[in-house]
Amino acid sequence: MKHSIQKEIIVVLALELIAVIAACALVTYRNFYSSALKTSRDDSRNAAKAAGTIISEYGLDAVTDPENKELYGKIRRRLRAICKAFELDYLYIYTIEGNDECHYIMAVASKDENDRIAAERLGLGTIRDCHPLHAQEQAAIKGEISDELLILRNEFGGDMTWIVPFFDNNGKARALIGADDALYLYNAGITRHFFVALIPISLLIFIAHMVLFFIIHRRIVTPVKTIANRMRTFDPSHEEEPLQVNSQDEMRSIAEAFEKMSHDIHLYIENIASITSEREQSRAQLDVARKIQYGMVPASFSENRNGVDVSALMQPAKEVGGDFYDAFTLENGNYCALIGDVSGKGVGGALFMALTKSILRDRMKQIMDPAAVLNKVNDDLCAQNPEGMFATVFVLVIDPKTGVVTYANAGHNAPLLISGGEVSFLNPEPGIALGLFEDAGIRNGNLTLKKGEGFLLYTDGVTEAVNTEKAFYGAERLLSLLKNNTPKESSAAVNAVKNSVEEFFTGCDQFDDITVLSLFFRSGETVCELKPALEDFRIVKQTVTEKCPGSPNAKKALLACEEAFVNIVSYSGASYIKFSCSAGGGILTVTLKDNGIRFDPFAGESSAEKDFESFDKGGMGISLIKQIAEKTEWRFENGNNVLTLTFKI
Amino acid sequence: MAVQKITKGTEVTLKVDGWLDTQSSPELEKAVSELESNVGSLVLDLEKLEYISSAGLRQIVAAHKKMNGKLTLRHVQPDIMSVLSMAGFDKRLHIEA
Repeated sequence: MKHSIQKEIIVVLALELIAVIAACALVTYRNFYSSALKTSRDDSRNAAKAAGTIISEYGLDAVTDPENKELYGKIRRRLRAICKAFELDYLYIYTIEGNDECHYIMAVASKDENDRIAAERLGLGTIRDCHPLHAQEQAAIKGEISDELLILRNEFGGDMTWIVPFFDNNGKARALIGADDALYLYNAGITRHFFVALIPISLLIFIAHMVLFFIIHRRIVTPVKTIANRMRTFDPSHEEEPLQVNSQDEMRSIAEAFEKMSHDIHLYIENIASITSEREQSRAQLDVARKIQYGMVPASFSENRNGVDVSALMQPAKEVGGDFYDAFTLENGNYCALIGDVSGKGVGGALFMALTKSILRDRMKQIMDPAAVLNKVNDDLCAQNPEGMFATVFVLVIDPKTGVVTYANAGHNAPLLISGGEVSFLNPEPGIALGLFEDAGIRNGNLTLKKGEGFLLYTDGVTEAVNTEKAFYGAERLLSLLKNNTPKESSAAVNAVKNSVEEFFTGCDQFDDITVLSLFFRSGETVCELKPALEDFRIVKQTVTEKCPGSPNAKKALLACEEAFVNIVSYSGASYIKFSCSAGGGILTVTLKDNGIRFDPFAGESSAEKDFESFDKGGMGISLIKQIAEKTEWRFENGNNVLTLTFKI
Repeated sequence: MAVQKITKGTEVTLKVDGWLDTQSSPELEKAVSELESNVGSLVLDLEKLEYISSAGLRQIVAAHKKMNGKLTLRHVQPDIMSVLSMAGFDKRLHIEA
């Protein structure tokens, strides 16, 4: 603390104490001074008058008679007795001749030493210059008495002198009698009286101040410190004992005010804590909902098998959204893809989404007909939808052997069709969102895709994305995006849309889930990109095995594929291997495309005749490929080795 | 793939079952390299071998070298046999049906 009330009070009280004591001292001193002065004056004058009376008994002439030494000595003794009795320093009698000559008649002193000196130096007939005359002397000459103070400091010491006139029997002022009161005695008297009076007064004042200080300390400083200490150590997490402030005054009311405030703060904090924990709980619930949503609808999905190339992605908005998609193979070998959007967000939306998606997948696997399924699911949802939520859904089923697509719409955005090098909006019957009205009457549409043609399905999070200028992304922008750069595979289509929309709303929050699904028809061809690692051969193994069910040559074809794959992994330095595989008409075609060093495996001599003993050094693989494959082809194309193997199955 | 070792006197039989390909061949390599030096002859029982690739063939050649030719392939199935033939093993190795 920079300043302390207590210190300031001490300083102020100390200064006041000093000032009061000083004032008392001054007053006391003045009182004692004037009373001492008066005492000194009266005593001295009485002494002088007594001396005058003695001299009068004999007459001044007798005293000044130089022959009558006996009388002079007698009077001197009597005067000295008076001098001692009145505690004077000196007592003397003199006349003033002319204007400034003192003619001493007699001088006595109380002290023996002084008296001897006085007898010697101020004896009868001693003349001293006393110019100028003092007011008391001037008055005495006229027979009067002056109160003008006369302090003499000469070889006889410092004295306060009082002079009275000596009158003869005729009442005429004949001489002056001086009585010297010793100044040091006078001063000592004043000082003694002064301190005798001042010390008790000072003590009283000091005690009064101490009492005042203790009152202030007890009533103000201590309570302030107690309150300040409580404020400093105030811990909002727990309530403390009531403040102990021993007073009933303003301090008490400050303490009470603080206690009320801290109590209010405790209540407030408890309140906030409970609100926060409730909020935490609901956030945790939302997190769970979001995890459920992610679990049900993965952020991205890609599959390329059995003639269908599908990619999808969902980028959820901040909240748990209601978008979903699904893609799976049906029991009859057809492939189903669907996309949807439920009306609500948050936990409710997620639950409704989960319900709708589960029922859709279930029903599709049973019924396998899009319109029939949508109508059935609509009835299911209408029957158990107290919240009046609804979902828009587009479902399509493709026959991977023929490219025939059956689709049905339940109020969802019209998908884009990429067909014949053109991109256009498919124009399905709009249908009606699921969960609103029974008997939706949704009907199937049909079309046939050629190889390399496909769809782009999306939710309104794409077309209704908003940029910084509050403009919508819009269907036209989506259409022209795909028209300008028509994608040839699903992943390209999905990524193009995602990047375009993200670029569009840069700087704004994403308001709605963005979900895109693309499907391309590949006619029995499987394409996938593999890592150049031995463990990825399992994908080749699985695909080739699937494509040649029950064929006696499957394992040999697989052997040739393994040899080719291992060669690329071991020697090419490629960063990827693009594998495609198609089967039809008893022929299996496998293509391996890698970006490693250019190498034609079939360029060298056939190693079939290679020495058996050096076989373990390698090099047999290519010989095996050539023996097993019906046809082998290698070409170098756009920086890629493209190896095509054809097998009879 | 599984490799099972059966010792009968100085003759050791390794039963090799399943797929002997690039990824699994190190298992056979290990089994062969761990054979004691007193083994007189080695038999590879291929009765339950379903698949063999060049990596597997290389291990057979390595075993042949290690045993100084005292290697017999036993219970070779037709599928496997055709691969062995393609590699010319039928002319160089002692193969029992």
